[in-house]
Amino acid sequence: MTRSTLFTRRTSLLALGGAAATLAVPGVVWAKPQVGAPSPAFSGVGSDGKPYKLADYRGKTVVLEWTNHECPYVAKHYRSGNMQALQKDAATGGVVWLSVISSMPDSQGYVSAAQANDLSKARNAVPAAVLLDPDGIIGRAYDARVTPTMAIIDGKGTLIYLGGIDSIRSTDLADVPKATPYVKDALRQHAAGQPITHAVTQAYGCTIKYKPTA
Amino acid sequence: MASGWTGAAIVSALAMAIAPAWAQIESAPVVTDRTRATLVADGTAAPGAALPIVLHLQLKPGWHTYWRNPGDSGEPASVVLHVRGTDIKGPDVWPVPERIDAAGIISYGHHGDVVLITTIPAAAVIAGSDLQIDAEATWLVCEKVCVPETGRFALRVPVAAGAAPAGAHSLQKRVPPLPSITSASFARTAQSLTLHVPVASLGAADGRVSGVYFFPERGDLVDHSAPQVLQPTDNDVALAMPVTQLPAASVTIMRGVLAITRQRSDGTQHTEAFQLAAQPAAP
Repeated sequence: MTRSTLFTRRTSLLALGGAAATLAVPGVVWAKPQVGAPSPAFSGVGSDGKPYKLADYRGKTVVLEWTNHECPYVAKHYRSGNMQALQKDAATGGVVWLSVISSMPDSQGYVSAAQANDLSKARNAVPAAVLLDPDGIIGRAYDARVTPTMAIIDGKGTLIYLGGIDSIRSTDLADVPKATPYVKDALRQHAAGQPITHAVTQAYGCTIKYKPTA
Repeated sequence: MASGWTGAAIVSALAMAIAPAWAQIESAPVVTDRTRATLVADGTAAPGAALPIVLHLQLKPGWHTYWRNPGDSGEPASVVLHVRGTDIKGPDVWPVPERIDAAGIISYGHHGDVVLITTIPAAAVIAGSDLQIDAEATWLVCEKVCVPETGRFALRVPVAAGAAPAGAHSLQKRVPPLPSITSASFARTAQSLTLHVPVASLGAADGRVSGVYFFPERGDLVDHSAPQVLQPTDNDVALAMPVTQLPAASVTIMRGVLAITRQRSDGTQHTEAFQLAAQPAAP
C-alpha cells in the first residue's frame, strides 16, 4: 500500500468518524491507534529511573518495541541477534528506540528496573530506554496485543507503522533471514523519504500479560 | 518354559489377526512436562482410499494449543508426513475451536485432548505394500507462558483390501464433519464485515438463537478481539464484526466455523457448530 492510498483511506475514515454511533458495529473503540494519524501520546518511566514522553521526540523518528524476554517469539529475535542489530542501526541513524514492558507484576516478562538493565546488558540490547509499563497504559493506548509488537512514529508525531517485526509467524530462528523484515524495511524507506510498503502488518507472538481492566 | 513362550507368541499373533475393524496403531509417544503426543492411524488402510493420520496431543489441564487461525496470538500446529518420497503438509482437519480470552485479547485454540488430522491422499495408498509414515510436527502450548514443542514420529500401516472404511477408529470420530452452510453471504465496508445466515440453513434445532460466534479461517480480515454483534431478524442471522486495519485482502469466499447457541424452552443453552462458506452479497 502506498502512502497516498493510505491517506485516502484515513481521510474517509475520519470523515465517517462523526457517524460512528450509527454504524452497524457498536463497541468499536475509535481511539485505536491509526497509521497515518497522530500517534497516541504517552509518558512513562524508564528502567534508568528517568521520565520519558513521546512529545520530547518531535523531529525524531521513534520506534516502540513491546517485549517480554521469556516469550519464545521475542527470544527468536534476540537469540538470532535480529533485534539488537535493528536497535544498533536505529541508534546510528538517530532513531530513538524505546522498548516497552507491559507485563503486570508477577506475570511472564515482568521485570524490575534493575532486572531490565541486567537483561539489556546480558543480551547486548541497545535501546535508548526501556519503559516500564506494569499497568499496561502505554500498551493499551497502542492496542498492542502480543510481544513483539512494533510501532514507528515520525518526527511530526504521526504513527507511520504498526504491526509485527517481520512476516513469518514462528519461534524458529531459521525463519528470521527468510522473513520480510517489515520494521527494517519501514525504517529504511522512511529514512529515504519513500512511502512505506507495508505500513500495517499482523503482529504475531505471545499475548501481553496485561493487568485485568475490570 | 519353552512351551509357555511359544503359547504367548501364538496368542499375540492371533490377537493381531483378529483385531477388530476399529483397531488403530499408535506411534511411540513424545512426552514433555505439558504434553503427550502420538501419531495415530487406522490399524489397516484400504487401497485407493484416503487415510487420515491423527496427531493426538494430550495437554495437561490449563494448557492450550491453537486453531488453524490462532486469533490474536500464538501459532497453529504444523505437521509434515513423509510418505513414499512425498511431503504431505497438514493438519487439514481441525476440531471446533474455543475462544480463549487473556485480559481481552482473543485467541482461538483447544484444551485437553486435541485431535489434528492430516490426510494421506488416496493415490498414495496402494495395495500390497505397507505405508511407512515418518512425520515431523511442531505445536505451541500456552498456559500463563508459551512453549514451542516438536516431535518426530513413525508409523507403519499395512494396506489390505477389505480394510474398514478410513476414519472408523475412535479418535477420528471426535472430529466428525460439521453440518455445512453454503447459503450464507457477507458484506464488507471499511469498518466491518457482516455475515448474513438464513435461519432456514441452521436446521430444525429447538430454541431461539441467543448467541452466535464466527471463527474465520483467515486471520487477516476480522479484529478477533473486538466484539461480534448479533443482529437477528425473522429470516436472517446477521453478525457484524469490525475488520482489522490491515490492507483489505480480496476475498471470494469467506470460510470459517459458525457457533450457534440456542436458548431452549427449558432454559438450557445448546451450542452447535457449522462449517460456513459465505459468498459476497450481491451489490
